[in-house]
Amino acid sequence: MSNTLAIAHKELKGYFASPIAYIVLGFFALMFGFFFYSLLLFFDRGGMGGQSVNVNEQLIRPVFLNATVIFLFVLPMVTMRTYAEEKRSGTMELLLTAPLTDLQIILGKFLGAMGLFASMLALSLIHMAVIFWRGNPEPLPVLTTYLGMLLMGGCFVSLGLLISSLTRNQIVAGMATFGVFLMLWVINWIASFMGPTTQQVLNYLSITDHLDDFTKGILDTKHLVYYVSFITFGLFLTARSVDTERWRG
Amino acid sequence: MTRIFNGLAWIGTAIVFVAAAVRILGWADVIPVSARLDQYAMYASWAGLALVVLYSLSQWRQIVAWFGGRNARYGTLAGISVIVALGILVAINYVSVRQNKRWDLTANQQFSLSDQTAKLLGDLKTPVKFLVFEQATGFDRFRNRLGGYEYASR
Repeated sequence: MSNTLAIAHKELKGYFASPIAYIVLGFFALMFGFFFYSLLLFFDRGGMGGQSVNVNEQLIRPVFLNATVIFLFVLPMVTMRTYAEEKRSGTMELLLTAPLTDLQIILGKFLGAMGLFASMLALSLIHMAVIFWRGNPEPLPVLTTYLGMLLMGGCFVSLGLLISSLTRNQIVAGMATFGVFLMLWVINWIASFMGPTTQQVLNYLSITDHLDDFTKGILDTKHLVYYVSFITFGLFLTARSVDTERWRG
Repeated sequence: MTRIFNGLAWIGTAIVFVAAAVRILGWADVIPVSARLDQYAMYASWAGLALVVLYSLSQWRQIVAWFGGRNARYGTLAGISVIVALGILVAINYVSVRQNKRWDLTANQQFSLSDQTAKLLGDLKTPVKFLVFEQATGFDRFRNRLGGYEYASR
């Protein structure tokens, strides 16, 4: 455990010692702030109509659903260096021969990237504080929204780690990660043209479909299971991929 | 001789891919594929497969050498472990979709059915079929509600 945390700490330090973290956080704050402001103006004008005014449904939920698009672009840039950089700079061998298990290293890198992601999410707490100060939203749906965001981010990070472990080129890792993320995002667009079983499978695979209930304030075990198994499988494949480094000639 | 076999391998692969594409697109109703064409595609895919097998047989020396090596042993192990893990996760997800629990955490139970509706749905004896006629953009509303009905009638 302490080894894992040490690696997570090292990874986080790597982000914050370089401009990466500040650029990522800064631009996230800018974009999130803009989304928040524009949707706030829209909400202020009466929003989408309807009889009742609900801050959670008409302001907080759209803001976060829009913010997920930022994650789609930003997270590949966060994860692309994790393993590719180690391979490129030749520290991969050190890492593989260090008295650490693969699992500890992978979890450490995962937690490190999640740490940066969580700091990104934490910036949105400022906007939430303003809403809670001036308005009267329900707290529980906001909490489930944050839980959903963390889980979805976890999926992205685990997948990003896997792809980064497959190449030594950061750009390749970043672009491939982005492509796969985007495919998981839009995979259910074709669902309605398919047969009933294919439709269900495609809808189930779509990473955004599972987020919807979280942002509404609904906790459903099937979404939790989906995200947790996605993260587990991503990390498992990363472990296998890192392991091949040892025996592949 | 080697060049002929190499050519056979590529032609075989191409045939298999084209035939598979025709059949899959036909099943998914992307393009209309008649039963006859579907059958031809099946024959073509077998023929392509035969060509690939023929090529592989011509390369038996390399194949035997590779399977004796360390890479094959570890590679097979890794492949099997990935398939097993995937199988377990698919099984877990399959069960979890059918046995899910839902908690509506909104103050007004905004996304839950009323007690009467839930009771009515719980008392259903026979399967009920819903037909919804709506423009493609309006389906989400119904899908959510029908999902709620499905959950309550379990």
